[in-house]
Amino acid sequence: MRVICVRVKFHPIVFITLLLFTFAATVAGGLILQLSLVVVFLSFSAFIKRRRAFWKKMLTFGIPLALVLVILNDFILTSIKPEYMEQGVHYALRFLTLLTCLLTIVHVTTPTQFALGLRSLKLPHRLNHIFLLSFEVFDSFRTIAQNVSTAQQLRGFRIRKNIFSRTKNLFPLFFPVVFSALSMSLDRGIAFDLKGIESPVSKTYLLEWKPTALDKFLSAFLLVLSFLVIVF
Amino acid sequence: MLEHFSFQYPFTHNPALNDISFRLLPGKTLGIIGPSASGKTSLLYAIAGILQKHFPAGITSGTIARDGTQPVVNPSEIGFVFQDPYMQLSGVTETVETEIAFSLEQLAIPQHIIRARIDEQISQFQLGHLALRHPRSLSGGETRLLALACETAKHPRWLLLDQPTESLHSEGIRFLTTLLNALKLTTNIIMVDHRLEVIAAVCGRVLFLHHGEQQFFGTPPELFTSAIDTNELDIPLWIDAQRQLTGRAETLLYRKSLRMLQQWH
Amino acid sequence: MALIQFTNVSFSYLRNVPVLHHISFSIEKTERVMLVGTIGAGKSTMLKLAVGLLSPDNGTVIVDGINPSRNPLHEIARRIGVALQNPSDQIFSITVREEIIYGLHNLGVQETSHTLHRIADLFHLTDVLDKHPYDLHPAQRRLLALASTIAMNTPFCIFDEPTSGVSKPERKLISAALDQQTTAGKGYLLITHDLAFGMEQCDRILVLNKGIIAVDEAVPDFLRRPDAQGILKANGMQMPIVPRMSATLAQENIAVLLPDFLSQLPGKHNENTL
Repeated sequence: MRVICVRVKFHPIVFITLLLFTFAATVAGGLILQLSLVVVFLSFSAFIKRRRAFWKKMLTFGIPLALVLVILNDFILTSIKPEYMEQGVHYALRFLTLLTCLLTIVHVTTPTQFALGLRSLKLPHRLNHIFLLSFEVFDSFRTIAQNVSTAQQLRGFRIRKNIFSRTKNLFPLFFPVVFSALSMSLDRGIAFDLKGIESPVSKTYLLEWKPTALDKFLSAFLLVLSFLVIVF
Repeated sequence: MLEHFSFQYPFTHNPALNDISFRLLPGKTLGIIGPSASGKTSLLYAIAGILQKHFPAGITSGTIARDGTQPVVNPSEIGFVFQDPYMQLSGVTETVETEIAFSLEQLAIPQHIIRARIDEQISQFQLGHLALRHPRSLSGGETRLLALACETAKHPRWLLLDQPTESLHSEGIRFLTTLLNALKLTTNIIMVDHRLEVIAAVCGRVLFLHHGEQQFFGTPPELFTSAIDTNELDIPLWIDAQRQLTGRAETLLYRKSLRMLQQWH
Repeated sequence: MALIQFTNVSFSYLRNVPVLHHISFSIEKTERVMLVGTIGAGKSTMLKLAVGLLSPDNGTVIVDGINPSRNPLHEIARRIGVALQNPSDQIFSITVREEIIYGLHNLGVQETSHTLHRIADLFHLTDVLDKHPYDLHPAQRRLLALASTIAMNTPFCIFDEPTSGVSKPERKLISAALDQQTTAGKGYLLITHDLAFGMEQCDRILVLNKGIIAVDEAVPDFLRRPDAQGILKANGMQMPIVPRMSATLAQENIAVLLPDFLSQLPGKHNENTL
């Protein structure tokens, strides 16, 4: 039996506590802490991926969203004053931190690794599958969106270059993607049923992954850190 | 095992299956044939128990039994390969090996047996060179074999196959035919396919459906020699040639029919 | 000038794992060509190169005078219609009617009802025009994908596995539609596993083997070759039944269609006179 390579050294429990920490930090932390977190996560992701496409995606989606947050904040508080502006920037940064943290985690793990990790935490397997299937749904959404977009262009649909028309072009994609994903879900449900996902007996696993001492230490450290951030 | 069985999907006007009756003896392999939308897949679903479970609002009449009882979806007993094998991949595994292990894990089969089954399936389906590839990176034909391997790994009593030869090359079809002939010694196989030469080579019984109605049930030679309208079926061409010349099929074997055609005057 | 021109094209997804090696061929506008090869021979890669979804590592691909990888897809779309292998991938409208005329609208054609009805008639889709494409059964969805490609009225079409998963009645419809393309002076390229269908519908055969073109010949010439069966076998394929029977019986013209085969049988004349 061959050994299956595991690319990432850290157990998902580390990532879960990392998320918790980021959440605590964004809610309680100051501007500088948040800015540095964004920079850390972005450079970490970029280091792992080393891809220009990643940066492009970040900029196409992250910046408009952040801007929207700033503007919304201003609108809600009606009159635009410097301190409200600062608050808006604050919200935007919080959002960006969480987004980059999540993206980093998604980038460095694969669904299988996450599944292995969650199993070893002795979570109910139903929870595991919900988690895995949502991963899977995103993946199939992406593939379908890609295929449909190619097919539309092959039938003469023009895709324009700038960001705003691109966002506009997402709408005609939306319907077929959601619809075909839904229509597939019935068949997939049947397929999973036949694979025995609902069988009530406790499952056995081919591969297992226990957290190491380093994993335990790191997650404990992050927990303490998030506690400290909240308290102070 | 089916008696006057009919089924109508919810929100439709015509029954998908209409008054179907046949009895399949243990150890006999059944091939279901017919043009598109004739209810072949629905019949497979009914035998698997999927119709009854996932379409409870459908209208059923008549009786259906598998192994003497009302069919229920029992994953350890049924292997089912869908027409679209991509849909069947669990999507949460990263290698062909773990994909095969997936349903075994769900059925709580001990780890050492899972390993043995993986090795067994990989050698049986000749997937050795693909064992560590990502399931989504395989081609259509390879995915089909993998989907089949995942299902036979459960050692099911029943193997239900929906168009297993689609998107396979003639070489792959030959491989699959040999494989199914070996599998049918231990498993009850029911398959739907357009390729009658494969059905004739694998199955002992044929059921011909048309618009949800049963046109014929019997052995493949009986089908080819019977007078029923087979215009919409892909009859193997060497048999078709005989029928066009003499009005009936003298032999089902390719070589023999070729000799016959050669000497025909 | 040739419509599709591959000159010395090489391509690899991963370094050191070449998929295509120095491929050169050209296809004219009115030609009917079949492209066959085993899984992994590089057929779909070739399709992607031809429409510009991939760009070659080496060599040039020219489609109707333009370089597909340097031009947006919709520019290629007005020159070649492409039907992808998986019909679910390319069906995205809410009704069959909209799906068929989608391409025409994009090309700026206003008057579509004539084409719509002609195409729907051709593929027997008239009764289901207002249905949702996902309510069709798989074989009908395949027909719809082909119909919406042909509806664009491009001078040339590429069909990837047009007959996979369909039964005899649909095959007849597809073959009638292809014949109509020929009558209209349009050519097509079939990428197919279904050699029998390909040989019935095409004049020229391209066999792709591990990234090189092993055979590029007229179909009748290829069938007349004594080693034709051997070549196909070496590529993991099998000669279709009728030409195989025809060759075994050493008929003068290797038949592709069953009636041709039967009419060449020695006793056939007797029957006709009787």
